[in-house]
Amino acid sequence: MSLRETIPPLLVIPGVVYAAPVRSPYAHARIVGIGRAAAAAVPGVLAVLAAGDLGVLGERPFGTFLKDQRVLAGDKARYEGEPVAVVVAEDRPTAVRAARLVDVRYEPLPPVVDVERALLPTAPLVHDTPPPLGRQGRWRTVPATNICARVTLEQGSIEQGFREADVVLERTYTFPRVFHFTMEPHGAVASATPTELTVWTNTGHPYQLRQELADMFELDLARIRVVVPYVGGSFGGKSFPKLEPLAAVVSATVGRPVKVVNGVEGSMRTNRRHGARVTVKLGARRDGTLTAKQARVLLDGGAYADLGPVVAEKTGVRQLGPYRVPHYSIEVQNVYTTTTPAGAFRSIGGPQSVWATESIMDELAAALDMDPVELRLVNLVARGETVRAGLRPMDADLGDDLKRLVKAMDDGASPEATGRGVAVGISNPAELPISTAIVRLHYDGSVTILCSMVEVGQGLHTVLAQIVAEELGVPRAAILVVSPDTRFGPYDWSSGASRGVTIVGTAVQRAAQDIKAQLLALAAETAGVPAADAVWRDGRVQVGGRSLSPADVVRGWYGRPAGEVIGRGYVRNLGADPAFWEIGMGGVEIDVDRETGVIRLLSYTGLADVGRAINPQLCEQQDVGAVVMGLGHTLFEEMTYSDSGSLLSASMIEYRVPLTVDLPAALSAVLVENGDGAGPYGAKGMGEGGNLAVAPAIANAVARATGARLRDLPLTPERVWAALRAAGARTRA
Amino acid sequence: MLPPFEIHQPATPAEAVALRARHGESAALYAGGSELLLAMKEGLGAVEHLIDVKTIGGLDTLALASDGAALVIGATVTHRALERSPLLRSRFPMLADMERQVANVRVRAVGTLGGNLCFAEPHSDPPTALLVHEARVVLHGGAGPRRLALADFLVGPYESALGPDEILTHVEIPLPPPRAAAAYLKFGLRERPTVGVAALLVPDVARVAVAEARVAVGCVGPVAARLPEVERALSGLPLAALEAGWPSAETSGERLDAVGDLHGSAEYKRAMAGVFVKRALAQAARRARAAA
Repeated sequence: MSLRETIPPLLVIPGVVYAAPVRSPYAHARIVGIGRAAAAAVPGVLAVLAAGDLGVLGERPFGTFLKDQRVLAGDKARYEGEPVAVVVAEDRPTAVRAARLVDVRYEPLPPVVDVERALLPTAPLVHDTPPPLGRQGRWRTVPATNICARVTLEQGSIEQGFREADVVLERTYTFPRVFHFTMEPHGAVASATPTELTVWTNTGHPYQLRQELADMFELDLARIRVVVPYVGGSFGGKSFPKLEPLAAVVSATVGRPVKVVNGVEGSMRTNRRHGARVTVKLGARRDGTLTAKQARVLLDGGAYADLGPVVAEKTGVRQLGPYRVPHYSIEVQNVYTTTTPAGAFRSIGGPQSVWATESIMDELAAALDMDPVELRLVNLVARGETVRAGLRPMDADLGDDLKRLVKAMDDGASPEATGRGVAVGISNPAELPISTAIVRLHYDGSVTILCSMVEVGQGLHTVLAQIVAEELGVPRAAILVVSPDTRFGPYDWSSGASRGVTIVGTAVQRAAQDIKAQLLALAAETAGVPAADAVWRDGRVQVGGRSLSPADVVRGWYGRPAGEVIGRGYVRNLGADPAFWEIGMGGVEIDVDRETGVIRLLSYTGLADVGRAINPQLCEQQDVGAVVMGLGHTLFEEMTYSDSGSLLSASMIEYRVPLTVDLPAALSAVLVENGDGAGPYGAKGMGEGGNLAVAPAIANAVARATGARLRDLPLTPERVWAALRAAGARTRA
Repeated sequence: MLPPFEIHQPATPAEAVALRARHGESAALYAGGSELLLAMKEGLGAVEHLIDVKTIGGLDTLALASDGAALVIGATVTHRALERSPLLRSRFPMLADMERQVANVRVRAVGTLGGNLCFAEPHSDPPTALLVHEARVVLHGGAGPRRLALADFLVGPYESALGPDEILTHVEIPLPPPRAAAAYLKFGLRERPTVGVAALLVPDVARVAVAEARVAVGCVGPVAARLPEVERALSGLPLAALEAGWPSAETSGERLDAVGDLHGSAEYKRAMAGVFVKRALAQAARRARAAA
């Protein structure tokens, strides 16, 4: 990276003060009173603020899909760790220390920790009144229940489908609540004046955040400035508003710039992935042809909606899997519980869905005595075939992809393997393909790219520069990509959903092509020839017998070393929704220590169908990175809550993420490049798909190695050990 | 975020003892700080005074006692120093191996053996390994020094026999009997182990059978402990049988006072104790035979 930037925890703003949240120790409790005196008496403390001290800004709810959250809990706390007050001080240590002295009096309420119990008629309500829809909201809560969103998908008649089946299986699979664990926790600095608001933050969504803040502060979009430096990882955990509304409201209240930063423990109380409980019923004919699928999914959405309604919607489609299913009935409910709010996380609803859909495919293969790969090949949708009515027809050759995966596994087969498993994931990413880009060609030939998708470590800036270098014939080193600043940069919808190369890349490519078109017109005008006489060849403009570099054209038209040419690129759709199907397949070879239940990973092969790998190394690293992240929810990770709703695994000592020692001996990614994507040069998006297949592939391998079928993640040694004992007991019986 | 505190840097055990007496429960002994500072950052306890034992002369000793009968480890010797010590590697290879597996290198670089024993974290490696070496601790109080067997020093989770007016100055580890060989195995998913097992075997002169066996299990229950019944059952058994995997070992954890927690259920911990007693005995038996 050629530009040094500072992450929010290190950002220094003159006059900044620090706000330390006071967090609820209860999962669910009415707030009876706030004792401020002891904290306020600490030297250096400027204010001790509860919701009631924030005026109308404390009452105004935010939320992009449902407006159900306030910057500080007012009447009651809805999860352990929810901010109920803040202490503002001249320095952070003072604020943190004084926050411990705030005496909040609570009246504990019964917690709602389990999704099934949350739906009982007797369950306490997390939200007593239905929240209003947010700006992008489509799904309403179900009044007088804890159902935050309910989504159904139907096709044909499942009764008929199950009648036509020779084999019907019904199984329940569970997926844990897991944490993003970005290397950089959330952090924001806000400076509010009556007419303008500036926020420096490590968000992934500067423009979604701008709208939320504009609504809260009743300011025009032009008066909200969101500045985003390089971000130390997001994985969705920094999507939509997080700490920014709190920083902004406190700044408006105390009249100083305010910084709020999380530690890891605070970020574990800010956002996580939806846990899931999936009951799926699958029918097939004796030859393996699927006839019907029914799925009932409960998503554990935590205390606030965040992206939950969209997660439910995407989960519905992702439950279908990549297969031809004539009759289906899918119901997904996102459920409020008194736990950390769940939101976006690398393929929303994807790993939860594929865990169920690809586990039951292997269970079906076993029931039919079929090879699991063969069963999949029989049912995979073909190129051009409908996955779901109204969505883009399948734009990949899934059968060929699966055969390539198996071939790659065969070529590198480990002699020590006692089990092997595969899984096939697809998802409909690239949510709302709306993006804009500005490319500035300077008179020395260098280029500035302004786009507002955030570089969170995925390598977006590298690829955007490659695209512009390709289009304009400018050296890669002469191109600078600027991080988002909504005061100067162009609009972009979001940083997520594998949309960077396809959508933002198209906007940037169009901006570069706009520059090319302008250069031809300007060169012709300068030479005094008709526009059609200027042509583009090999990165140069050929006009009137001369060959001009882009910089020559700029200087020639302005008549001196001055000026620039500004290209613009707009994207509002790429033909159909989704812009592409993201394909993530995986195959694994394992051995199991039957005495301890430890799964030893011998090899993992990922496959990503990327259309065109503009930067193959980045694509491989994205896919492998997603696999490693998937190993977390597969083998180790779980946010464990006590019955009273306390987060037990609330530090990196107790919350186990994958380590280098956990990596398979062989870990590789196959990139399929058919040039068939809607993005630049036939590229499709990728980066999320790699984690789809990990859990079911490994559980399928365990089942083949041992006969024990595990349906609850993570596959800890103890769970595997218990399943082996149960399978052994059944065999003996 | 660390709360404010005052640091005291005594030069002698007596000064440290006097500081403890003066500040009572608002003071904590501070060696490596790998556990203490974490707790303070979390806002646990109300520690206002840190008594830095690293400034006390002689507590960085790592040498054989003058009579050559025991290894003496000062209270401020770090895990990293032990892991890398040629003396430990040659005379107590199992302890060096165990120290290499403690937590992670950042913890080992500052964490001390003395601090580890005083903190009495139940999910910890060193106590288990030291029990089969029949280690002693040397405590220094107002009435002068006293020696205590480690088994008597370890009282319960986060609880030791260290008096409010005492500090731990040294750990003494007797040289093992001739021909003894030992193994330490740990198992678990998280930073702290689910189970730790140490086995020490003293073979007969022919290196064929077990003359004396010591087995300890840690992390499973409130405090690391020896398994006397297992030790008795091992006496006289052929080393070759242990090396091949002694089936009876698998039930050796059954009667442990196991505590279910994030690291595993009580049932799983008991079962894993059995598995790793078997594996540790196999490794120790292999070493005992190979040493010929």
